[in-house]
Amino acid sequence: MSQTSKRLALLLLLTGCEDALDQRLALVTEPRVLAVVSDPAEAKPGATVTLSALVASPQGPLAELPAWALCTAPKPPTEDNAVAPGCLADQVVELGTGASTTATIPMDACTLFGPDVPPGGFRPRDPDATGGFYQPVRATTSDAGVAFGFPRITCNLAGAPGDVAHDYQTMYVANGNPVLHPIVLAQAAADSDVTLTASWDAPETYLYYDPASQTLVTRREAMRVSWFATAGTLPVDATAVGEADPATSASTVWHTPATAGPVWLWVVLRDSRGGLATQGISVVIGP
Amino acid sequence: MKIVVALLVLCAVAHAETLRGTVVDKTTHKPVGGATITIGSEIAASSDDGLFTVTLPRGRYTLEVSADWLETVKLPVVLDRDRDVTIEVTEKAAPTGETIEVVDIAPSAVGDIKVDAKLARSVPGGGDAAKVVQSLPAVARPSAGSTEIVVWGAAPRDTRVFVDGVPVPALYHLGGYRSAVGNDLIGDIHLAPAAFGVDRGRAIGGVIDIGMANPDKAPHWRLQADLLDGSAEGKTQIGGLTLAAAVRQSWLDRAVALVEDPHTLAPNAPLPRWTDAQIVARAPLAGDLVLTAWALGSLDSLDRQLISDDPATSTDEHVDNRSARAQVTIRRDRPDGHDSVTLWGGHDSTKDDFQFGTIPAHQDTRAWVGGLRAVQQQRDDGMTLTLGTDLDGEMATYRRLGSLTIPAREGDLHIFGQPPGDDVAADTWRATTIDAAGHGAVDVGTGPLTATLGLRLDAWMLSASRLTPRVGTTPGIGSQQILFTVDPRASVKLAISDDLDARIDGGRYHQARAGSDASAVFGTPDLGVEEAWHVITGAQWRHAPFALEAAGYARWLDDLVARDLEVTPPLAKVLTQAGKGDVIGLQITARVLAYHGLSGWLSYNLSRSRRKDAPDQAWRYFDHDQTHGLIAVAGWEHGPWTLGGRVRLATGEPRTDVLGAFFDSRSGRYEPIVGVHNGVRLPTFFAADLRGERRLPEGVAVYLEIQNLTNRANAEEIIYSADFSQRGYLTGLPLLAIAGVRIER
Repeated sequence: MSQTSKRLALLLLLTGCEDALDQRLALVTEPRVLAVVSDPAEAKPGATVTLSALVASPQGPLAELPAWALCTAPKPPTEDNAVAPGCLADQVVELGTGASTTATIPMDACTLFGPDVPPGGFRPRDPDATGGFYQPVRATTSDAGVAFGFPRITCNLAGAPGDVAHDYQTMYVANGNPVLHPIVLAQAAADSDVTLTASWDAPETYLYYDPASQTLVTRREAMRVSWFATAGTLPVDATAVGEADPATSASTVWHTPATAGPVWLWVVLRDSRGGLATQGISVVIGP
Repeated sequence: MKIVVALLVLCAVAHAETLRGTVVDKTTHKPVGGATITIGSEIAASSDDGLFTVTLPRGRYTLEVSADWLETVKLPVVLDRDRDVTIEVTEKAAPTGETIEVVDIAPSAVGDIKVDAKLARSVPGGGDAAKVVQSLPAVARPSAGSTEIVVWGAAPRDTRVFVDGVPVPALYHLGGYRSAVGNDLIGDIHLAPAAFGVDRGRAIGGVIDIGMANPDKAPHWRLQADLLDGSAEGKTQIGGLTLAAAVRQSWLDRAVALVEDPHTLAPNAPLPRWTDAQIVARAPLAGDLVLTAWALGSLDSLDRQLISDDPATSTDEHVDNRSARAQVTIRRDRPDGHDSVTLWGGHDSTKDDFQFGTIPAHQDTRAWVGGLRAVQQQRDDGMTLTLGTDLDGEMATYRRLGSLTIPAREGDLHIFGQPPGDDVAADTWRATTIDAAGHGAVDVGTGPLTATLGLRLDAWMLSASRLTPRVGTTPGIGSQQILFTVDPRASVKLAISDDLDARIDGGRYHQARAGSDASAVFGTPDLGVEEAWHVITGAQWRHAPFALEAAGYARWLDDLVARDLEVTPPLAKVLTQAGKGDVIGLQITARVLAYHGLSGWLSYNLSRSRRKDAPDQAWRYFDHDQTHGLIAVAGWEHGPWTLGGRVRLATGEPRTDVLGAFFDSRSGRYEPIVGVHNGVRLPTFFAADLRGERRLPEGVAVYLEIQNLTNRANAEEIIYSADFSQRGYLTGLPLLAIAGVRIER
């Protein structure tokens, strides 16, 4: 109860004032990594994946050549960040520099980042809300900071009844990146509202091990669309379609800038199992 | 000349005799504290136990016992040797129907403080007596909206709250606006910040004792209403039985809705709802026996939605907390002591459903609690012997789903605005905690020296339903352990003069692990008890109505339950008992009681509270460490007016700095790169609050309270932009005015 009080206390504070801080990420005002895509989205230990980074700037896509590195530092269960501090330091295997890179998922990835544990009675790592585990891959850019991509690793179930674990192993289908349908928008009038609609193929269904009931259930991926622009305004940073919603599109309204000229838009589509798809759109704003 | 004076003094001392007295109520035979004793040239005040001691040359004297609320008693005393005397006093009839319980200005131990409910209600805090706890010396400045109580550097969980000796789960309702144990029927509030006696256990921090008022002294009825809530109280007499009941219902959420749609006015501000009710009964039985009983109930609920521009950071939470307690006590007061037996029981349930984006966290707890306390005290020839038993049990069932780090623990490294961990686990477990204690203490005195030597023996039975996580239908093996602890506690007081005492108090303390930590998935089922050593040393000067005390204090904490920081902890052992802590501090307090209607205190506290979660870890500041704390509280009553004020200055709490950030492509958000754990601090806090009440005819009173009179923007949290490149402060409530009305007869 006391920790609930602590969370509530923090929220009550919001009746007070806060300094005006930018909590929005939709407007690209400086070079930024918008996504690190892994292809395939999920792989078994020993398999290879290709990673590429979508780097944006106020002038449009940035031809960055990130320095890639495979993280080898597992994080303790109490770490709220997505990676251990060692992944930001030198507990990595360098993969070289380039617009993209190929990485082999280490054979011990399910031990370092998954539920496998060495013998001796250790606690398996807990998966995310979709039952997944991920291999961190670092992309260090010169202008756009540090970013991490997370190809999903196919691991066995830990702590599950034997029959359930066997069914999971035989029936689970690895995640694939979502397929984003192209958005066509070559030009738009200045100071006007333009509806942007992202659509995609039907989300995948997947096998999920429910830790409460200790049974396998079939779920549908939830989808989330992040919107970015180099000018104008967007009402939200992202639009979500929950797993109970069968919709295969999401829309937002982009208010174009008042001045004519080229503007870039990006759409990043994420599924709830770590898969990504991206699209960049060059738009000419007319008078 | 000096030699002559010295000889005269020596002669006086050589023929001085000691008069030890006890002031008791003539009707109930209960000890009366705070009475002024005048005999010859000596003036003394009776302690909480009604005791006083004066030393005078042999001779004949008139002893006078007086107080504002007592009929003055005078009796002749022949002091030809050391004598013991018992004086029976009678209370004056109170014209308003409310009797003020005035307590000693300098209670037993250094650092202890006891406040009567009437003074407590005059202090800013919404007119809620138990809110005064947040203004007491030794209590750290609470964060805005917090219900946590930090006493001399102790974690909130380490300090136990009792109502007439019965433990209750929380002192305040959700949001911290009101106390959960009611207001109208509270009698007094007592805080022992450390080194408390053997009659209290299961706490390694401090002890807060709320005393329910004698229902005979409650008004016949009382109604009160302000912006936050409304309450009603009533009393009735059935033969020899006096029954008083009170109920309170919040309407803050509806009050806000009258002005504006709560979701547009304060879309991010939760508005909790609370209800509490109390019923107190008192009846004299045959002989000197008195029966008292009460029942308390408390309900809290909260629904909130934090809408975000990114659904991944939207928050949805539903909280429902319920608590009930009941107790029956039979007490007999004798001229040479008292006997009492208390039987109590209750039920607690908490439900918290939380969703952060797609990250779920659910907790559900249901617990049956109960216990038995028995105490016998015997005073004889200057010595007091107290023996007692204290049985306390809890049987709880827990359900939890979500991350290991939700809820967070003291010491977790977390940045405000950082998403919680997205790992998900689930468990259902049962935990039982039973403590059977026997305790004894003897008070002895010889000349200026008084000592209390006590011993508490606890037998703990701790059990958990599973030693390892559940896998399918495989039956689990539970955990059960029986532990014994021995807690010696002592205090020694040296009366340097009639007004000046020096004291040292100390002892050993234990508390059991929380049942919520006994999960095989989220905790460690076979955790044991945590330990602490306390010591307080200081001096008290008291010359009614003033008192001044200086205390140095220290706590050493061991076997604290803490996170296992290993990358891969052992199965069913994510918590260890390798944590340690220490607290050292100095507190200086000046107090005044009923001096031309003025009561209050001014206190300065200097302290350091540290923790380490494992032997190889570095020391870090306790999450609620406050190096400097200055508080001034005053209540003044003059005719129909009562004014109360509070000024507080406190060091900001520690926080962890953010040195940079990285982009997490999976969530599409930035995450912080952190500096030294608790290596920076929030800015200093300052606030001044004022409360005024005007009593009108026919029992009506109107009041106005203004909190944060200077409208200072006190920083409560460090906040960051979405990419952690900019920082600022989240500030607490601005100037807030609460007006209300009360009617009582």
